[in-house]
Amino acid sequence: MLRQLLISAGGTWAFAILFHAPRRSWWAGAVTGGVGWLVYCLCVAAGASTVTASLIAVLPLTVLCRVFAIGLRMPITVFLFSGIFPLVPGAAIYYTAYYFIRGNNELFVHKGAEAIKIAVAMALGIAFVLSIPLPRRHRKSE
Amino acid sequence: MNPRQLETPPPAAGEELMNLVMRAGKLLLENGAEVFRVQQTMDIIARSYGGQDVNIYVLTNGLYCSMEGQRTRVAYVPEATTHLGRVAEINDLSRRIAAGKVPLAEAGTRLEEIAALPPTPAWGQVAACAGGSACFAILFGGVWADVGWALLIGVLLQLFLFGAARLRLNKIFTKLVGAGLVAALAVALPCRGMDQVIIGCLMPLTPGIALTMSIRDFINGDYLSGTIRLIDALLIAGSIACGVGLVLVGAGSLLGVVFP
Repeated sequence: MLRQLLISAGGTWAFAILFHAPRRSWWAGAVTGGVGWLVYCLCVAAGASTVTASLIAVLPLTVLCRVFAIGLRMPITVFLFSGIFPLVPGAAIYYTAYYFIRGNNELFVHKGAEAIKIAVAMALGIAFVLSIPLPRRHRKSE
Repeated sequence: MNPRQLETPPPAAGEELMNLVMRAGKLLLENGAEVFRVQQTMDIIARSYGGQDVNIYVLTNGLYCSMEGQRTRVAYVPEATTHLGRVAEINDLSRRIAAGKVPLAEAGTRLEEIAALPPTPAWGQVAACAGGSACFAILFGGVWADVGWALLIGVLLQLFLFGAARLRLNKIFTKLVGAGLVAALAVALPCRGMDQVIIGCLMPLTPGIALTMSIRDFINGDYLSGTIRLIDALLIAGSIACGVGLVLVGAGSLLGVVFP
């Protein structure tokens, strides 16, 4: 589990660099990515589906992004883009297209539905956490 | 002087303000900020300098802005890359503008400084692409013996992407050839878990973020922007799959290897 945490944090770190995030935000992005993936793994291990696990994992992840956004005085996008990278259905959407062109319709529909459901679950989770109002003195800093 | 105390600005200043607002919006959009953030930031800047009757409409690939006493302006932003450093700096600037700490003339100069912010050095990007590919190959269930191969493919992929950017290759074509390159290398190199290496190394190309952000646009009520991003994500996924599919089918018929 610890190894999974470190690897996903490392992957997130790499994508923070590829997205040209400010240098002093790299570690924060890595932490959010690692935490998100850890919660996802725990949910899957507890028997949740990938969609439910994505929804649950994105909640603490986005909370952490907001904390970093206020603490480091940067827009939340900086942490969110790299932090959600391990969870976004990049592989699922690729497999969808792959089975589509290979003519495997059953797996195409299966993977396609999964990709869309994960994306919707994550977007809902993000929107939910972002719509919780903040105390007035913090409001400007996001 | 506090800019917030200004009444309708004089025409010359109005034009300068319009230029500033458009420049800020275009920069944000070009560097991967979300549609609602672009809209919000432009609005804050315009109102902080006393712009009257400000209307702003932002799409994924363009923006419109009108202001009293000014002609309406349109900007077309066909290509967007992600440079979060610039987004963060513009956000910081707009916050200081809203606090009334930045004179109008200075804001324009500062924006040009932000536009000139360099990307991460090339070697850093190559290292990041390699490291990211290897990490995701492992996360997707790959074996440790393949880490070296994933690193190597990641390096070559990023070098290819630099070359494609220099030649100004079409985005769809770049992704197709890049994915083909990844698949060809994974077939040619003695990887143990070929599938995991391929999917790990494809992560820098896959449109997972675009798909998730498209749904976020829908939830925010930006249906048109969400649709544009969704189609973008589907096209990119299709081109990646074509690249990989062509190589695997080719390798299958040439080498007699059977793939899923």
